[in-house]
Amino acid sequence: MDESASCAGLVGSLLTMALLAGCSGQDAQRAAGAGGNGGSGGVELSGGAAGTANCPGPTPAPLAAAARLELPTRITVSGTAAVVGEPGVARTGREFRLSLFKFFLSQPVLLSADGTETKAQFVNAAGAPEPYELHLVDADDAATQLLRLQTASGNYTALRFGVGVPAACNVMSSTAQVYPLNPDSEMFWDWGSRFMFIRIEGNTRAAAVAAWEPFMYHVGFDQAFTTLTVPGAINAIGGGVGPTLSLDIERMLETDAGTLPSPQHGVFDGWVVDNLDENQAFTLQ
Amino acid sequence: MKLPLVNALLTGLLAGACSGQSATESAQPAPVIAIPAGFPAFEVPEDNEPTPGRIALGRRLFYDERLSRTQDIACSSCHVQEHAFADPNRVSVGVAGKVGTRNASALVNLAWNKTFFWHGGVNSLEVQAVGPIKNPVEMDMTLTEVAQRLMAEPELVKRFEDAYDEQPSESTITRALAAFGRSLVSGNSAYDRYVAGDESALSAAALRGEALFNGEGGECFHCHSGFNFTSNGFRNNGIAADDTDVGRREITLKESDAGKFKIPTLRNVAVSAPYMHDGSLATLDDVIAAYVQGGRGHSNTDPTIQPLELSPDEQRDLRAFLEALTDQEFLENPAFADPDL
Repeated sequence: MDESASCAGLVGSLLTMALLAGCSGQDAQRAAGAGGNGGSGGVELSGGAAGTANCPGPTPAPLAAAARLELPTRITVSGTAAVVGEPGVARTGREFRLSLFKFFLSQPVLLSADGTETKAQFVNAAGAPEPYELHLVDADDAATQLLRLQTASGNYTALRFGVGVPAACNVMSSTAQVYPLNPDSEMFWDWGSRFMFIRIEGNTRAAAVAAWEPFMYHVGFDQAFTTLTVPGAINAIGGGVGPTLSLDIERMLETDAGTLPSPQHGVFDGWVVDNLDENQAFTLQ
Repeated sequence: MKLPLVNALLTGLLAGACSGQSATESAQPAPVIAIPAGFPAFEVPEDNEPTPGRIALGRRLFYDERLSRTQDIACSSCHVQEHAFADPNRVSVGVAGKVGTRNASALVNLAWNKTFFWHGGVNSLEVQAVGPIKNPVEMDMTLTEVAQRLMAEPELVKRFEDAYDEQPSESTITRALAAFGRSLVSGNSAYDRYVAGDESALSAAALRGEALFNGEGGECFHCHSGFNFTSNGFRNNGIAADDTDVGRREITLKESDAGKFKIPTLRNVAVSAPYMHDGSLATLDDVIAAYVQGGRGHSNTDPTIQPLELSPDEQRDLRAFLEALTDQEFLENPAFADPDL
């Protein structure tokens, strides 16, 4: 990874950064009330903007870009693939057994070694832009675990993306929307009229002899929208299959001491997204 | 292929019975199926766009006992309009007194369902119609035999031909039943009137209950979300520790789906007792008590099912909100009733 290039990309962003965790490994922006910036030609989201005017809508205009890049995703517990319903053992010995895990990805941007930002767009198998330019990854649905990006042909050194629903799309009633911004995605929060960005539920135990305990972490609200920059060589010349984007649940949820840093039942918007950045929960290899 | 309903703007059979619900401007022809304000559009199969003739034919078949081998069980035998087309019996009784294992679900806003049956093993209303007719403990018939019976009634055959350009057949019978099922739209409860701006529509208790429902007090919204009070997903609510019904696992064969069942809509829930897939909870109070308890210990209970700290007053408030989801117009709509009565 060219870390300086990644930093340059971040500095180029016009957004006020609520959290900038340095340029080692992953870079992160947490925008207060905003949704990040899609980069050149990207979704134009203004900091703190409310409303739907800048939301791409259910049928976004296709991005005029030559290359179709496929990035597999992989959800792991300490490097081993996580399977819904089956225990995964973290390096600390803690076991996780998922019952549901979904998260939104948005605003993909590819970064070049010289800091150039190139917008990408999530598309479906037929090449049509995904509704709202969002991609919902579902740990229990293999079909969602392949990211298809329409972008410009080229060699890139990092992928930048948002984890969550950008503010412009996160202020609507679900009723008039299509998947994934409708109740069928199981990401809609009635009481907040917002969408969860990350929804993870399951059972965990600190050691094999301990009883399973339920956990449930729901992450949302605009201030929790996080933009991450994950380094990794991406050859998108002519398209094809790129590196795998992995997300490690252990890194997302645990402290170094192997504990879950809050009551094991509730809704939180802070530390989970902090961990995504600080623990480098996403990798691109 | 499916088409959006907005393409199907025809003179309305049901529009008169659903006055005030349609989001369509009055200058437009009323849709065959009026969509309540705040509801999204739904899709219909290309070969079964709703028409008044198809819906009326399906309604006729829904109440027709000839669909069962013994000619004494109709769809309406287990799906009773005044109970939101649910069965007030714990489990349903089919031909020759045969007893099923699951409670017959309410038939409400089926047009927006993604899957059907408690295990979600069917993803279209047209295919769903096959299940009860062929099930040996329900109607125990074949569609071929049903078609043969219906062919004996020339007036009915003409209605099939008018609706589908075909005689009674497996395809036309199931499509007609689906067309009627898709017309069973409910969106005029006190809650809906409140959402539409009538602040007096909900009692103070119901308003407090709504806050519990959509808050961390009741946590109901995790599953019962959106306009139809369901995410259309599947969950194990731990309602029976020793439940031998594997539910969704029957379809997916995944152990992680053991004991999961389709999350039902809560519209008209106050009149659709008993509750749960096995009909084991007789009243809304029983349901609330079960959730307050945090389930009953099924080994695959969903992590969202946890003991709730709800006082008796709060539980009554929650019930008041659920009762505000009753759509009396739906329960009494003559367009859904037995056409022979």
